[in-house]
Amino acid sequence: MKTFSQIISYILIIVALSSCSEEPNGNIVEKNTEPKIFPDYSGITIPVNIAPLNFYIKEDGVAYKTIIRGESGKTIEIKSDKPEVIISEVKWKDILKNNQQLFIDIWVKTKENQWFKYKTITNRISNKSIDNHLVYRLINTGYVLWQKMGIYQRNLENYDEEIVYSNASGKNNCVNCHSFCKNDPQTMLMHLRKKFAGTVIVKNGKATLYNTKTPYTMTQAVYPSWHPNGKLVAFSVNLIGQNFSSDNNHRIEVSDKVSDLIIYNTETNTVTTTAAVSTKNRENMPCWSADGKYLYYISAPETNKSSLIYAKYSLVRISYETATNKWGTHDTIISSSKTGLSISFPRTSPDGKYLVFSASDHGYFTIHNAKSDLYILNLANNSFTKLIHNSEKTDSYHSWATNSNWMVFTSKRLDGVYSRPFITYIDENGIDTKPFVIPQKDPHFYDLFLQNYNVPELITGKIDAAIKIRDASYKEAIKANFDKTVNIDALSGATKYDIKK
Amino acid sequence: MLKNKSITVIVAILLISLGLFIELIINPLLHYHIQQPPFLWSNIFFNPFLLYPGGLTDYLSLFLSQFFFFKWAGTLIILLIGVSISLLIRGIAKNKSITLDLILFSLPIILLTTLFFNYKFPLTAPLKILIALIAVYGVNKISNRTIRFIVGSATCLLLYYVSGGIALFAFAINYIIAILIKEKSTKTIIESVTIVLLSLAIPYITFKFIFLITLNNAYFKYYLDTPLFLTYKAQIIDYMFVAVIPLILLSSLLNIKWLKQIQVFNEPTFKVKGLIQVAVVILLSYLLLNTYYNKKEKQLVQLDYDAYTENWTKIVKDVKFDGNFDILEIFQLNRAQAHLGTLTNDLFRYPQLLGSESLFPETFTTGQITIPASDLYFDLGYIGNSQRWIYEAQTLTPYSPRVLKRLILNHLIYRNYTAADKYLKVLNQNFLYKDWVNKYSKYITDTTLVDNDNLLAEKRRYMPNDSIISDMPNDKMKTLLNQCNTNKMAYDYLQSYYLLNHMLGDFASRLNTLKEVGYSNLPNSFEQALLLYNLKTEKKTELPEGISINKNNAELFNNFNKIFYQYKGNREAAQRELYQSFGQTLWYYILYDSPKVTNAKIESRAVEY
Repeated sequence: MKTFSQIISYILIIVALSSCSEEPNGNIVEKNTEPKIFPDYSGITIPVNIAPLNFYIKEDGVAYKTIIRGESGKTIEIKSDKPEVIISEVKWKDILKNNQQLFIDIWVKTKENQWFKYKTITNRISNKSIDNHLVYRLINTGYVLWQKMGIYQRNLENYDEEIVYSNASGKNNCVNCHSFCKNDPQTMLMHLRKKFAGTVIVKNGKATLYNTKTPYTMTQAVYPSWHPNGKLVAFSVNLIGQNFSSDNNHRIEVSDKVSDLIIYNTETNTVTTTAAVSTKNRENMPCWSADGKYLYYISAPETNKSSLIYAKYSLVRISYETATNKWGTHDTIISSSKTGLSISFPRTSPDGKYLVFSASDHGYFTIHNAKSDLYILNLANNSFTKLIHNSEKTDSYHSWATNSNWMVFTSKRLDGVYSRPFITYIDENGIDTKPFVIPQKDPHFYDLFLQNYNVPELITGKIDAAIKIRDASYKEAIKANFDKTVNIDALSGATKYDIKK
Repeated sequence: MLKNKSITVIVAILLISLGLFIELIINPLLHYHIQQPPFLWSNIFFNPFLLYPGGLTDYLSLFLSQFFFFKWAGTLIILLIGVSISLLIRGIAKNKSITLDLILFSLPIILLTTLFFNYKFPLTAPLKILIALIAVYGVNKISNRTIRFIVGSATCLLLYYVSGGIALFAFAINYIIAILIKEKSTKTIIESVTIVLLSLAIPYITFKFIFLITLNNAYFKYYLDTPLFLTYKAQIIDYMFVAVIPLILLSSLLNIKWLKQIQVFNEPTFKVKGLIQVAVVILLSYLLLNTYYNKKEKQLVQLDYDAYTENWTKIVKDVKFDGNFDILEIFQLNRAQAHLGTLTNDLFRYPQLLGSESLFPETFTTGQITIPASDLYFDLGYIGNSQRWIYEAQTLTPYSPRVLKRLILNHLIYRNYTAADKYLKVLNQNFLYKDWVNKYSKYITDTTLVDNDNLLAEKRRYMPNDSIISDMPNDKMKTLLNQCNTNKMAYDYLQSYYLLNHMLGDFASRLNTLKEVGYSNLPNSFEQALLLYNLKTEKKTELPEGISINKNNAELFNNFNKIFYQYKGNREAAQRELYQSFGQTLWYYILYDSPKVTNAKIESRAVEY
């Protein structure tokens, strides 16, 4: 009896193996179209250090063969009766290291026993690496309530994902706005809301919780931008509200009643500002220039009933001298009234050449607006253009790699609902290439995963302060001071705005 | 032989009785319905359970909880866990050759059954105790003390990761008693002390260096992480269930005399003492039933299930008001009446003590109202608002099958087939919904099927596409009627809203569209409102041709006024007499029951944050 069952087992194994290793044979029909694969990894430019781009073949078949190769050297051959293509990390890295092009050949056998060979997929391999970690918040699609939420870091060279902060280690509090100084994992901040409220700043191997609300600022610090010197952080302070819509492409409107800008000094724990960025207009989304001499931000007119939601934001900049705390006067770089665009999330490239922003038809919270697209501004001549590879769905929050060649941004192009992180190569002329979604071990990941990637930020290494951040969150927040040298009377009505009113 | 047979019969009767009780009275399907245990055969779902101690047991419990969809399977799972615990206790204590009696055998099973009186009770809790007990039993089997010591210590680590802090404590305590039962020797002291120290140290050390959780959770996390409205709150019975195991083992260890005296299974006076024990078990069960069985809670869960299955007639039949009621009871009753077309006729036949809040429950954004609000707006055809609420629900319970189903239908209505397909793929991971998924998957490949589906086609017709959804319920209903003036449910809800808020002028101004929504005569509450409005305004409101006020109601209104004026406007004095004849009218509601008069407010509501 035992022998019989053993024989049966062997036969089954042989059958299984043979069905998994079938070679294309017979009259193979050549197709002049590329095969459909998911995620779409065809015609893209990939960094040399990216993890294997696992995918599945979206062509009906009973057997599949895939060959992944460069111009020369090793090849990866995968034969299976399943459409999933799971690539060996070792061979993959070898191909990427030694080639400039990546070819994917796919054969599919239909149930009628006919083999098809599809047109070869060709991708370009860039020898310029992307920063090896990506940090993002994972959140659900709700707007008011939340349950599990956390900030995670993903190693882009493999599939490792680790928690940076999970609200399971607090009291299910909200956590947001993680930000890094020059993509440095050792110098960062994030906000905690509700329970354990405050801003955790990680610097010099320490994590400390600060309360950035002062008697002269309307709220705690909100949207951040680290100055390149690693001491200062520009923030907006905002009174934010929400409205809901029946438009499935824009289900929620986030708008500010008022907003201003402040600068927080992480060394002196002091908040400062100036009248020019604390006007009755709504200044928001600060971003330092690469050299730290200018602060870019967006600005919309003062709120009235009709403009609360439908205002358009212009791109503005103001000079700032760190040594003397001296502010210049502001300049409008892109006027919303001239362009019809409402600008948001300005982000300067580390080489100082470009600024990428998202723009839509109104407001600044573009991550919920399907009309949001990415634009690139040439800082040498202030000319701007839409990135070539925007989609019909939301393309929004973006982050530059330290070498200014790569950018990660969120896009809802896969299903119209969930934000996914896409990588695009930006060449020296500011031209973008077809973006690709960050690879996952399980090629079905994006089909089944029901959380949004929020605020993807590229960093140059792994954050190792997760336990320190958690422990800092348990301590009482240290109150920030307001800069005594600032003439309070110089502050606008907006900054003096009493939140209780 | 006779003795063994009798024991088997008694135990079998006990288990069958409990089984019938669980299946017929408790009904595991209701646990499934309210908890909507999510489960996916995918690493995406599994991986988060690896990130905290006890996650693996939570994962297992979610897998098993799916089977509560079938009453019999849920019953079997509960009984199996209970019986396994009892048998393991027997197994651990057996070495001392003390036969545990019926009471001690049945105690864990009865206590476990009692825990399931609460429909939020998560299966993970008893599973953790069961796993701890299996570990005790397994390690205790090792006869070599050194090997046992090593395996016991390693088990602490493993058990902590698999089942969490409470399971580790349960293991430590029961393990110490178990080895003492096995060998009453001072040599076990080092082993015992080590296990205790490990059970204290492991949670702290892993909290400090490995797991990103709170210290409290490192030691005491016992239940699943759930949103507040599904959170199970521990009761004394939970502590009793955990404590009863070491107590039984302790009784065995101490060889308590009185227990020995009432042991039945190897005594000549088996019958008498056996009967006494059976009586004690019955009495104990009765006491627990009396103390912990919450009929009201079951009614609420049943009501929600009936609404989910659209058993509107049953809801109207079952909802009874006994003074203390939940807002969702009257909300679902109103909804059921609307589906049956009787809302406007019977609006005041039951106490509308919370006014229009019982029509539109979303005054406060809380987890509890997310699904009911989404369901209501789906019924009304306000898909944008249904979508808004179901995404709030999805945030709290991401993979809930009920939530996924609503998302799929909403996206189909929106013509967002890519998103609908995505949720179908997720739901398809759950074996219970294959047929449902198959049905709607066809709608993705052939989108004309949506238009052929009466329900979805109707919602498309009703669905407004307003850019900003108003906060005011009446504005929402007006938006729906502007989109489609034949939307009867929206009309009924709007008019009911006006009546419940005493807005008779607004109500009267909408009567000219009665026929468009299908009325050929005035429903009861409308007649009452109109009589009052006409009296107040001293005008006769124009009605669509062929519609008039029933004479009986006019007569009733006269009688109401007569009685009221007999008391010279003294509301309090007139109340009793008016209640007897007019307690179920709008007139009485406006004078006495309306929250505008009583200032009634929702007593308590679980607010998430």
